[in-house]
Amino acid sequence: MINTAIKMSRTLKYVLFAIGIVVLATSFFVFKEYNRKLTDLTHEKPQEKITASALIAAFKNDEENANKIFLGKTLMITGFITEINNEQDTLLNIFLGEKNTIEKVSCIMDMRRKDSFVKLMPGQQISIVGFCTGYLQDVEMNRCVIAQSK
Amino acid sequence: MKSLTGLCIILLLATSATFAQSKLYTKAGNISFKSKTAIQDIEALNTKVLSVWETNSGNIEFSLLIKGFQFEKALMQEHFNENYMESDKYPKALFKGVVENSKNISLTTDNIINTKVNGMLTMHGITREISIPAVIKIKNKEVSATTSFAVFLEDYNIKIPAVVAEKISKKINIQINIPAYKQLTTK
Repeated sequence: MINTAIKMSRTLKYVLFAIGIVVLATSFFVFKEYNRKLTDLTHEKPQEKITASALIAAFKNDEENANKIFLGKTLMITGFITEINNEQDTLLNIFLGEKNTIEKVSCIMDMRRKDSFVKLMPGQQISIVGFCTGYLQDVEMNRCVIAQSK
Repeated sequence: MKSLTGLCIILLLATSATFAQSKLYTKAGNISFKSKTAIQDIEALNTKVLSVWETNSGNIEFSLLIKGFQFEKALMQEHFNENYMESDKYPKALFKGVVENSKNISLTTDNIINTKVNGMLTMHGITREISIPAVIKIKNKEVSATTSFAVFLEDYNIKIPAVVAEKISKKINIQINIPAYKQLTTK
């Protein structure tokens, strides 16, 4: 009788311990997932690679179709820097495209990587990886970083 | 004869200056929104608001991309785009309206004007009439504008699942800030 009671209490201990581990692991996962930050795209593999001019043309010619292909995707864009807008080091907006066209690819840079943007100059050719948010007057990208040359 | 030519030139310059002033635009407006409940506050910011304002007619437009909203937490941003705003299906929000007494606003004199903008707001595939207060500030010939107003999620058919209903306010406070309009020169 006593042996059975000891056995049961041992089993109960193991069950409680296992439940505790599961609860802890679940809480940790939920906490981590809830507080997850947006990914730094530096090491992200782009889903599409395209030039700034070709991307602008795609949206200008058929926005609906271009949305189907590019919207919400990580893109690598290659083009010439036409303008750099730096607002008090809190918002850096780099425009890629051709000098003589109104439409550009507007890249809001990821300020977590601001040290790598210091040497960028208008006229320079560059490849940028960013997240495509759609088309207003420009093709809009955010969370942009400089593409790693491999 | 010389004075007549001079007068003509002045008149021409004055006319072109008036036309140049009539259309203002910006690609760098900000919009933020806030949902406040006892359990959780949610905030997001979008720094790409396109706005065109024809001051003579008062016609004004704002457009922005839903995926341009940035949240502090990735999960909130994903739920916002995928579950609530369905931003693949409805990628833009658009407001088209008229600024009250717009043609009487002098863009050359420093002033702060409290006005109203009446128009149609389209988001999540629903268009509704809306009237919003606005403050237009003119300083050293630079024009800026701000507005804050609230929208109700059910007015735009944005459904929140019961499991998170307590965490998301049914009324969302929106703030738009246009730091500086530029003159749009059209040929």
